Amino acid sequence: MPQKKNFALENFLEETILTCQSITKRFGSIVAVNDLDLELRHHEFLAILGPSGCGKSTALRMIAGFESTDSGRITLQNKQVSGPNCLVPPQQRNLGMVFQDLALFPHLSVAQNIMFGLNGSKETKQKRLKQMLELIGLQDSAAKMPHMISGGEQQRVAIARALAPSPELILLDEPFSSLDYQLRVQLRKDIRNMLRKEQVSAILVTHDQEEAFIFADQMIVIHQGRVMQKGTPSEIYHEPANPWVAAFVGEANFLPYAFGKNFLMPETPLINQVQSVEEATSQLMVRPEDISVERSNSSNADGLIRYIDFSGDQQILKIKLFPDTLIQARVSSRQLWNAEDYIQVRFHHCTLFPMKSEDA
Amino acid sequence: MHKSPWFFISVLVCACLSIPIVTILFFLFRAHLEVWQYLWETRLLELIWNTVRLAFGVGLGTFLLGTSLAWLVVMYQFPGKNFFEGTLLLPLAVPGYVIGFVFLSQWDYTGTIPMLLRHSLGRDIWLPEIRSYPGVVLVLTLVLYPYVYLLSRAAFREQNVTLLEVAISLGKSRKQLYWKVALPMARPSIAIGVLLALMETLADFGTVEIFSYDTFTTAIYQQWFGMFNKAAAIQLAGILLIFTLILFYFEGKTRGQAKYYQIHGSSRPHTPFPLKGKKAVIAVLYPTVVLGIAFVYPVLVLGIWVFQGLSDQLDYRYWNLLGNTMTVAAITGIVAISLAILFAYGKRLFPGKFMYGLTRFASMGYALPGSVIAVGALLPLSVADQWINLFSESWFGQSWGLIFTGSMLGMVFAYTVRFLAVPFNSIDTNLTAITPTMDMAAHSLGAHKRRILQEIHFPLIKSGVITGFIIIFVDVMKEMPATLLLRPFGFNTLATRIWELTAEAYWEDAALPALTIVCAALVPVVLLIRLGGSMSLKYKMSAHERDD
Repeated sequence: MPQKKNFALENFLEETILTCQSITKRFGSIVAVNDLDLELRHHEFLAILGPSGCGKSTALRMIAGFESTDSGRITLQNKQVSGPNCLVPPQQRNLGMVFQDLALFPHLSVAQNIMFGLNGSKETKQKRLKQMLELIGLQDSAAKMPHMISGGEQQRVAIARALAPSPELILLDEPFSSLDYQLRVQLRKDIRNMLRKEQVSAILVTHDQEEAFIFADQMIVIHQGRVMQKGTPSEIYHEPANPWVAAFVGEANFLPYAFGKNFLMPETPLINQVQSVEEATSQLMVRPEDISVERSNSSNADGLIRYIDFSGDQQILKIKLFPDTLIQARVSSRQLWNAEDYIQVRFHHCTLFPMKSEDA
Repeated sequence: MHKSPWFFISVLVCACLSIPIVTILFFLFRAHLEVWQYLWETRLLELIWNTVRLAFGVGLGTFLLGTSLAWLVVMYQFPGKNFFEGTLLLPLAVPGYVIGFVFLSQWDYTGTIPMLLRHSLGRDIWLPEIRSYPGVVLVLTLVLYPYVYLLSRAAFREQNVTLLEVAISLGKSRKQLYWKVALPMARPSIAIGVLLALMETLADFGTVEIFSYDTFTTAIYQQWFGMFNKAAAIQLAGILLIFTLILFYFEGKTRGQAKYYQIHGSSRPHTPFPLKGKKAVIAVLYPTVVLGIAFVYPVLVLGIWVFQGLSDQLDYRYWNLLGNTMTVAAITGIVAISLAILFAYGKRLFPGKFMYGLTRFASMGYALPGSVIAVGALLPLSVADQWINLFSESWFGQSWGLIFTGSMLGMVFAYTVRFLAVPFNSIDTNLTAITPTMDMAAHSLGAHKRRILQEIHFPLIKSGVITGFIIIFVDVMKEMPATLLLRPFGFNTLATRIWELTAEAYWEDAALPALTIVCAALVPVVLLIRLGGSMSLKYKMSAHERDD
């Protein structure tokens, strides 16, 4: 019997690559990271999402070993690396890291940058270099210096440099924020695919919810050093734990429950984040795309359209609900609307929150 | 942090470097009344008047010459534009006292040209007196305009082209553009250039000495060596120090403001306006004349003299002179580079106001005239020598001699105080370009501290170390007043030898040491010119990428 139990334990441990147990970091009186728990399995992509200054980068730097932990412990591949009286230096953690400013060595060529972290014979180094250059599609730029290639190519080189020593885990600290929008969209897809191909686990720190949603299998939302919510991208978006998360990860309309329930349909799913539904102390959150709009006459209208933002693939309607509540809905751009059109409004998905959020 | 030896040593070194300035300030505030009375009765007012009008003249001259030349090469296309862009910096290589003595030898009443004219015309003719206020202003302007030229050229180049285009679209002519848009926007950079030129003017000893134009630097020397009135010399140094501190304050303030004037945006380079016909001729003539008077003419004269007298002069005395100069310069270079590395890493290791202030203080010497530092160093060093002798005689029964004032040590100390800023800035610039994330990236790739220093830091600061060394080497070679005051008895460098020879009007004999200094000084200037060239090349490349 004990043998079998051990087997199961081993199996379990083999699956997790990184565990953070209630890690905390203070800078003077500021608590940068407060009691963060985190677990990452092999080949899993985790995104840590939060506004700037929320402590997400500090958390990443603790995992990398550039910051010590004030309390709590970090375990990498079954080995404690940070904890009370314990701090394994970054160079012994076998992690890859990609920085916001890329930090390519300006005096080394693309190839030398990629090979910086490689050990072993010349042949194995060359072989790995070739693999990496193929992976990032820059076979012709090996001899170029970093300042001679474009921003997107520099980004790829930074990724290749971190991946070259075959780390189990790669840490990405806002790696796309220095690029312009179109390049960013293209690169985050490419890089996710590269990481998948290399079969590493990854942690991405970002303030861009779209980036986090696209990249991650699992997400952690942090605000002021504290974890607001953990879950899959879809859970975070569709079942936010509190109003702050709801508003941070997407557009959200908030209405007092007593008023908002008028627009619910009998079959509308209601995600309940309150202990007991009481009209006076609850509020409804509805996403703009979960609102449907129909024309009506003035007598039985719920409200009217104030103005329309047409953006090609969709249109955003700014709606005034009678007597005086403003919401916005995202609808198809096929049906044309005019300002002052009378309308009826229905909600198709709602989340119920306490009126006063704890974290506001 | 305060327990680190690095930190402790930095504070200690900084304290040592502050000895001259502290000495001067100490004596300034507890001066005896009779010293002041003596100074007042002698020529204090004349000295102040001379210094102020010299500063005014040189300030105006360098401003006009520097900004107009910069505007010309940035905004207009004319034959030889690229050539002039760089070569206009060449006068930086010629010390004021070299141009000074060449001009004097040629244009003084008994000089070559007036003699020749009188001889050929057969009668006396009137020529402007060169040994005069306008003469000094002219020489110092010709030597110092490159500061203003360099800084305003950079400012004009960085100016957002769109802003100029807006002004043109609003109906302004190119001339109005200069006065109403470009010049006001470049104001902080120009001001820094002029202030640097003024600091050099206050520090100048050789030029004013040759022209017999009395300023504080010459008066300090006269009081110290002529009258043996050290108290008066220190008071004069104190007043000169206050003058320079005022300039230093404004320079720092302007640098702070300069940041707000930098508007980043379009990185499109200026399209120079092509000049044709008469205007093109003027555009070529103007820099040609400036360069001709400030560089080609003096160097040519020196060259001819050297060529004529080479066989006589190129003997052991010259080699001795050269050896002395290079030894002092090299030792100072090594000391200053070591200290610069100490401070630059101190700033990196202990980021924060304290260390920043410390490094800023340690590199303040560049603003101080050599005479002030020398006088401020001489007194404590001779006191130290006395103590050491007392100590050695009572303990070892024999005198060790003048360790500081009787050897190169005192000179090296004063030079280091004066020139530390140069290698510090060049190393610090390179070191700050190594971002903390680069260290982190190397760490996360498994590199240890030693490997990071060897493979990342060393290659990246190497150029800063070399540049810093070359510049400080040349600065020490050129330095005249500090050397004159601090040299051990009978010790000569190229600069002090020039001073000795020109004082006796042995112009031709001074040519070889002078040409040696000019040739050495050309190295950093050429580096500067090439740097400007390569930078503009990179600029063009990135602009090209944008078009693709």
